[in-house]
Amino acid sequence: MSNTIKDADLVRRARAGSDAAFGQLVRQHQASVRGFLRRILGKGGDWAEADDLAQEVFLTAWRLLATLKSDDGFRPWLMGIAWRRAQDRTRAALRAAVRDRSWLDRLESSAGVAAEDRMALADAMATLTPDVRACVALCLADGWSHGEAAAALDLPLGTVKSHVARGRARLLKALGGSDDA
Amino acid sequence: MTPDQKLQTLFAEAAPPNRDYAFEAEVARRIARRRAVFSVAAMTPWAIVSACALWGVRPLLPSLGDGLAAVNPIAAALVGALALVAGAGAVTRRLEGRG
Repeated sequence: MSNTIKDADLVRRARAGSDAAFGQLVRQHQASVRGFLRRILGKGGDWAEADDLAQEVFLTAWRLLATLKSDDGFRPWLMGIAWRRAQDRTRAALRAAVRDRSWLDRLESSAGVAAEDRMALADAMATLTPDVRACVALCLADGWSHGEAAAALDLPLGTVKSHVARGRARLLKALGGSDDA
Repeated sequence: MTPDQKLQTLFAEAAPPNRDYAFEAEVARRIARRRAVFSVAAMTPWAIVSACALWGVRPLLPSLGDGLAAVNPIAAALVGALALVAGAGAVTRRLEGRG
């Protein structure tokens, strides 16, 4: 993040009422938050729900910015909000108990990956517990360190490490790999 | 393509662009809307208090107006306008500070 303005400075300015500073925070973190939510909520290419939730996450962050304890800790704090909102959304979806499978018709192929692999990954992700899915989305897909993920998800470091290893093994197996982590 | 490569490719599909003007604009629009709601909500008690205060001093207003007008009608109007501007500025600064 060498070309971007430091979070701490932006947080201080946003706290003082600068919408421009908060807009810069949105610019710097939208890809990370949306990617995370897409991977744990997304349904094979239908990202609308995840992106809408990402907007709500930023609104919540704007409203609660005064409660952020450390100006340097914006990123894990923001992802913690995203994680809690995603859990709420998942629980609501389970209560509704209606699975919309229409997304299967909208699948598009990307270079070198067959549609069945995509479906296998989506199914494998769906079988992971929410904690494991979140750890996989942050550490494997988005390159977060285990420590950062532990702080964002409020999980012990050892738990994050084992979740990542277990989740990776399950996903690779679904994509035709061995069962070894 | 190895399973590991497939996994990374599929994960990359879900990655949004680093810059998304539409998303940023929509967040900014929703923040502005929420700020407006907060502002109205914050000003409502002041409006009620002001209305009550005006109602309370209502019997004094005619004599006050007559007194000021007798001094100078233009000065009376200027004093009234300045008082309004100062009051609005104070309320605005207070709300921005809460931003």
